[in-house]
This record gives sequence, structure tokens and C-alpha cells, in this order.
Amino acid sequence: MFRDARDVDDGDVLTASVCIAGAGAAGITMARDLIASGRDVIVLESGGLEGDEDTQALYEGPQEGHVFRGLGECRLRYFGGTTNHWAGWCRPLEDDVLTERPGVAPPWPISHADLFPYYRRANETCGIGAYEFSSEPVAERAGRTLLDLDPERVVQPLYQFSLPPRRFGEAYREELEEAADVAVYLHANLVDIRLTDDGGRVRAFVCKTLGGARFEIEADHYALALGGIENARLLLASRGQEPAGVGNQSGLVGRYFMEHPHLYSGAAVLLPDDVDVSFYLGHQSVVTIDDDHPDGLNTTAMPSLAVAPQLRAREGLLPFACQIFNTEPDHFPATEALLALPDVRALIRRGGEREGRLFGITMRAEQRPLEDSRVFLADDEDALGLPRAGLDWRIDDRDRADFRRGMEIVGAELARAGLGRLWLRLDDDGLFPQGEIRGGCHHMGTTAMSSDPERGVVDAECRVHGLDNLYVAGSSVFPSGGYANPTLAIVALAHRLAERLAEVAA
Amino acid sequence: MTAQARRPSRPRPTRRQVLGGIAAALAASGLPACGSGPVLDERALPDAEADLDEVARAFFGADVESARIIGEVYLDAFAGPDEARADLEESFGPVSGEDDPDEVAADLESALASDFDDHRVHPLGGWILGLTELRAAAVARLAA
Repeated sequence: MFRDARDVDDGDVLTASVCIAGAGAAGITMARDLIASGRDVIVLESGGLEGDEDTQALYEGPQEGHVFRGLGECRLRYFGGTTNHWAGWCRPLEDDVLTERPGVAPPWPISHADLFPYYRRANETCGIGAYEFSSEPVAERAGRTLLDLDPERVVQPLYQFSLPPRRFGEAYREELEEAADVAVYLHANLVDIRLTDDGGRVRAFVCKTLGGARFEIEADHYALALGGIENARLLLASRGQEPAGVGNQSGLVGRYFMEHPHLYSGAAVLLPDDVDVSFYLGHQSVVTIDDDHPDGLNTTAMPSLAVAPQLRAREGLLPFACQIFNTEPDHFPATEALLALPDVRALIRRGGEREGRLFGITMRAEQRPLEDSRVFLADDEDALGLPRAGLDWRIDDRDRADFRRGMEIVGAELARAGLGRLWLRLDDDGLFPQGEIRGGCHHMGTTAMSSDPERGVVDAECRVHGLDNLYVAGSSVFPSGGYANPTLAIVALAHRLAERLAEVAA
Repeated sequence: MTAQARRPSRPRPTRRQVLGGIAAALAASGLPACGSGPVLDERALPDAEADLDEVARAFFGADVESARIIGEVYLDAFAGPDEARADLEESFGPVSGEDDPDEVAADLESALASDFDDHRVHPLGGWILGLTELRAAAVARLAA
């Protein structure tokens, strides 16, 4: 059922078994899983069923360090959250991303095997096909051609696309409307987390509307599902009883913020005429598979290129994936002179029917988690009186060196296989230019998961260390980010957390 | 993975075409002034039994002029002929005993394949090239 928080009287106290703050990918997934679980659930959503400027403005805040897009632009603050402009890219985190990687990133306290059953459910929730992320069987079934590369050097990870991208708010609204035991309160902003006197449990979530009414939710168990920046913001801003913020004994809340560094047009590849890359060409050439795959595979998919995990581990490199896209040569100024040569013009059909032989490459990479890369509380407040969240995104120079070395390996393999030559957009230091790096609106790491309370904010169950009944959902719990777009893992973790909440709330 | 298990490489019919294109791109992006640098000095040439100009022609074929442009840019990174020579001998030292330019060129082809196998590459003007072909290009420039 849906409720409007603006109809709640100032000072009211609502009760529930479970209270979930946030109705984006994670919050909606958990709420759906708790339908008919025997628990009364309250979901708090800051916005309404559609976006509005006043609510969206609550996301605005200052930025330092590496800035690529305003904080109010990346995220959407209404029912369905940022899935309302999600592009639909789905891929699980690489297996090794969850393991110990010295010099790269800390391990997760859970394994891929722990997540696997939830990924299968997440595939369905996200509106993609069966759990199949290997390019080879999909290419074979679809009759598409893969580049003939040595998988010991360069692998070809598959992305599945939720097409049209599943808007969780639209897709699951009716189901939640009809759920008698789930109450979604729209226009309800979480502004404070109150603890019991002994500080060991959450006593209440304090909510406020833009109209100024305050009310509280008292529940047995609470979950923050506000996104990678807001989860940290609410913990830090709840300092009425804990000066450093709730769950922040380690001082790590907000720290180790990560994005997926993107290099659009960071590289180009010159391919011979007879090399078929149509399967790789992004949304221009996705392939829909609808056949008799034993798991009922029916999806839209696209392969990418990445350094083989074993080779990457040997060299201690961050992972990344490359997408090939059609381009015009003049998009890459350093390669324009190629056109001067008649024999190269035979390779590059400029102005043709998007059949050019010079292709652009977009890289999507992991970054090293850095303590100084962080969400912080700004000095000014939003319309609710809550300190604004500021973001200081940092990228280590070692990361850019890794990206170059990784692309050298990809380039060497393309050349070895006679498939073409790679060009990299490098600066005078021989690195990818810092200014060319963009983000993907993938906010991760600010309440990282670790079994050690000194090294993380939540434990392997996503429960905040030191608090019996507060959990965190979403990519803020990622101790490392991999390169895969995070939505599928967010939803898988949400399915897992909902199962946990159903157990503990019993 | 054993060598036997590796997938066979495709023929490389376009390699020389691509080198030409890369040379043009490098030329357009600004070359060092010809002959002005300390490295464009025949003292940088490795010792060899074979005529290195003939070796370069055998290795690069009709595209040797493009290779020379690439070689000039590669040489520009070195402080002097001794440093350049030490680098070039990394590839040419092993073939210095050969006197047949075609055989030397064939050995260089094998070395280039190993470069790509082992990721011994360098981004010249952003283009990922094998170290052997870069050194051969430098020799082509110096021996011309």
C-alpha cells in the first residue's frame, strides 16, 4: 500500500517490524521479498511517484577532487530511485574482485558462491535472461562472431542488457500497492537515526517532510537503502548521540568512496576489413537471443574485452572492460593523418554507412579504494535542515598506470592475433589524461563490508558493526568495485539482505 | 598455457598498411627536427654482419619509408647514441651474427611475434607497437 507522509501528523510514531529507508533498486527489491513474510514493513521514500525539483535539490552538494557531474544529476530522488534513468547494463562482479588482492583492494568477507543464488534472482528482478555471462555460448547460439583472441590473455566478458531498462518504480509499483503488509510512505525523508540509551540498537528513524512535519518510525530492524552517498550522509549526520555519527567508531563512514572510472574514446582500434565486430558495437548492435537455452536464456547481450584474470593477477592490475563502438576518425584527432594515406583509406571508410574500420573504445575500470576519497558533511544545510553531502572523489595515479598497462596487453593481443592495432589517448606522462576520466554515477564503498570492525562499517551480513538492528543495502557496502556496472550486484545483495531480515524479524 | 594450445595467429596482411598509417599520424603530430638530435647518429647502430639498410628493406618491404618515420620518433626518446644503441642491441644483438638480410628479417619477425606473446610493447604516439618493430624502424632510419 502507498501512503503520503504529508498526511502523517507532526509528532506521530509509526511502528513496523522492518523499516527500509529508500525505494530504489535495493529498497524495492527488499520490500518485495518481504511481502507476505509475516513482517509489517514500512518503506520510506523521499520523493513521490514522479520527480520534483524541490526533492531532487536535496541531493545537491559541494564537490572536490575529481569532479565529473553534479551530485543532483547522477541520482534520482523519487519512487524507483536511480533506476528511473538506469541504462540497463548488467553483469556480476568478477569472481576475483571479491578475493584478497594485495596492492589493489581489500577482500570481501563473502564469496561469489555466497552471492550466486541471489544473482540468479537478481537477473529476473532486473529483467534480463538466465545467469549466463560468458560470451562464447551466447555468440554460438546467436550465430555471432567473436574475435579470435587467446583467453589466457584477453577474455571477452558478456554484458546483458535490461531492455527497455527496468524502471523498478513502474515495474513493481502495483505489487507494492497491493501488498497489505508493506506500507510505502512517499515524501518521507529520513533525517536522523536515534539510538537506544545504551547505543547498541537503533530506537527510531526520524522522518521529516518538506512541509516541516516530523514523525518517527519505531521498528525491530532497520535498513538504509539510500544509495552510495546518502547512506553515508545519514550515518554521519545522525550525531545527536554519537558525535562522529552512527556506526562510525572506525571513522570509516563516508571514506573509500569509489566510482568506475570511464574513459570514453580513451582508445581506438584500427581493424582489417574482414574482421567482424558487429557483435561488439554497443547498443547499436545488441543481439536478442530467444531459443532453447536450458535455463531459458532470452536476453540482449554484448561482449567486451578485458585482460584475463590470471594475467591481471600476475601483474597486480586493476580490472577493466572495453567496449568497441562505431566512430568517425575525426573523433580521434591524433589519428586523422591516417586518412592521408591511400592504403589506410582502404581500411577506414570515412563517412560510410557506419562501417568504418577505425573503432572507438570505451574503458570502464575499477579504481583502488582510497581513504581520502570520501563523502563528507558540508557546512550548509538542505531544505530539511540536514547537512548537505559533499563528495571528494580521488583517483590514484597507480590506477591510470594500470589502465595503460592493461590496454598495452589488449593491444599486444590484437596485434598478435593479426586483428588490428590499438591507439591510446595518453598525456605527456604516458598516462590516460586525468581530465578525460568520467564516472558512471556508480557510487560505492562508503560503508564498506568487512568482518573486522576496524576495517569496515558493516559485517558480512550487511549489519552495521556495533548495532544489533541496523543494516545497509546498496553499493555503499562494496569494499571494492570491480568494473561491472553495480546494479545487478546491488539487487543480488538486496535479495540476500531481505532473506536475513525475514529471519531476524521472525 | 602451452604454446601448442595457443590459438593460431591470423596472417597479418594489413600490418604494413597500418604502419604506414601510424607513421603518417606521427608525422602529423610533430616530429623532432630531422638530423638535429644527438641520436640520429650512426654510432647508435648495432654491429651487424648484414647490411642493416637491406635488413630494414627486407623487414618492412615497400613501407620502409613509413618505418623510418616511426623510427625517428622512437629514437627521439633517447638521450644519446650510446643509450639508443644499448636499446637497439636488445633486439639486434641476437641476430648480429647473420649476414643474410632476409634471414635477419625472418628472425626479427619471430622476435616480434614473441613481443606480442609476452606483451613487450610500447605506446609510440599512443600506438601500441612491438619493441622489435620499433627498434627495426629505428635501425631503418639510422641505416638509410
